[in-house]
Amino acid sequence: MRGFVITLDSIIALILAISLIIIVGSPVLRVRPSAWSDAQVKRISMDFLTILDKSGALTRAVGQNSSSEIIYFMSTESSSLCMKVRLSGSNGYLLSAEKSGCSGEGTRVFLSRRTFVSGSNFYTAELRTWER
Amino acid sequence: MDRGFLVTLSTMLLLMASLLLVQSSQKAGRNSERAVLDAQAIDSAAYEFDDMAWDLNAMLGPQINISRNSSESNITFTEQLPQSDYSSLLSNYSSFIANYSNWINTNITLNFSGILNGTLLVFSNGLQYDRNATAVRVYASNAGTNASAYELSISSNDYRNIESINNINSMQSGAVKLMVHYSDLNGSIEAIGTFDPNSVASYSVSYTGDPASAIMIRVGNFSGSSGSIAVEQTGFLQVGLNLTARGSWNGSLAYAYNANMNYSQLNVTKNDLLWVGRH
Repeated sequence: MRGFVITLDSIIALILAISLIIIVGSPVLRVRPSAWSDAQVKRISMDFLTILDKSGALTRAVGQNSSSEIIYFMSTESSSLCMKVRLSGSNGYLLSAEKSGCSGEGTRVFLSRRTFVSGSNFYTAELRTWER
Repeated sequence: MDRGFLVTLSTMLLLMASLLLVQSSQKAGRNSERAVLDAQAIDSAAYEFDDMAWDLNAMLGPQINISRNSSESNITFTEQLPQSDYSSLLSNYSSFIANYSNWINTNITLNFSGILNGTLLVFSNGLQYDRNATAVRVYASNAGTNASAYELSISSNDYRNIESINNINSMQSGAVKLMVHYSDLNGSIEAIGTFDPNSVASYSVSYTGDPASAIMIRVGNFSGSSGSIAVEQTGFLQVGLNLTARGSWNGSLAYAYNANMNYSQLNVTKNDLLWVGRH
């Protein structure tokens, strides 16, 4: 009888232990996107817009009404990142450009914006970035 | 019975310890993520300052090139005179940025009074670059420029009548070197001399097409600054100029538009000039 109680007690304790380990461990074991990785994607996006602006690609895009140069710049970025650029002026939407092979959008999209000037006109560039 | 109780108790204690460990690890992770997010907010402020500074560069110029070696620095301004009045352009830009800052949930305000009062650029070595519709000036706000040489290329679109630029060749006793490469529809003039940074000297060109047109180069001590240089244009001349200031300025050399920007978003606040480049 005594041995049975000890065995039963041990089994209950074991079940309890396994249940608690699962409950406690699950948030740790779950794969979550890291803030460090998010920050890196965000910084890459801001740097990308800065390069587009300072190289004059944004100004040329609105001047020539062509997104080909922006698409070329996108193709030089990491293949694990998808990007979509949208340019707007005072009258609203002007043009957009999407990285090749990146139709649709991911579930975690990072939004970056930058202003630029061409002559006496002011524009905004909006970049949406997500990981493939 | 006692043995079973001990096993259960020790299991519970072990689990409690694991729970506390996990909690503390999660808290550390959250703190680390918060630190990253805080840094990201500061990053965003820096990107906005860079964005607005580059916009001003696109709107107002001038084109600036800074080259340095171990002993000296060259700052070159490429400019056109006359300049159109940019007060309405800056006012429109302020309105545009007000809308933009609303859109991105920040509070950005710009103060262009310094630029509209004439001082376009300020440098970390104390140099200032003033510009209005018809003149540019390089000087230092509270001391001498410490420039060792100026090299000035000027071109105009008229026939000259009288000029005194050649007189620079006979000035050889000063401490600051002055090189002028002048050209107009008559041809070019090369002049190399020196000037005393503590006195004032002027050289000019007048024109036949429009008697009211002239170019004036002033060097020396004016605007409360020794070793300064100014170029002024009058009349309907179109003048292109390329001015290089040379000196042995130590430390990093940065320049900013003389416009103040105030940025705030959540707990991040930054108030500064719009710095463009650091060399």
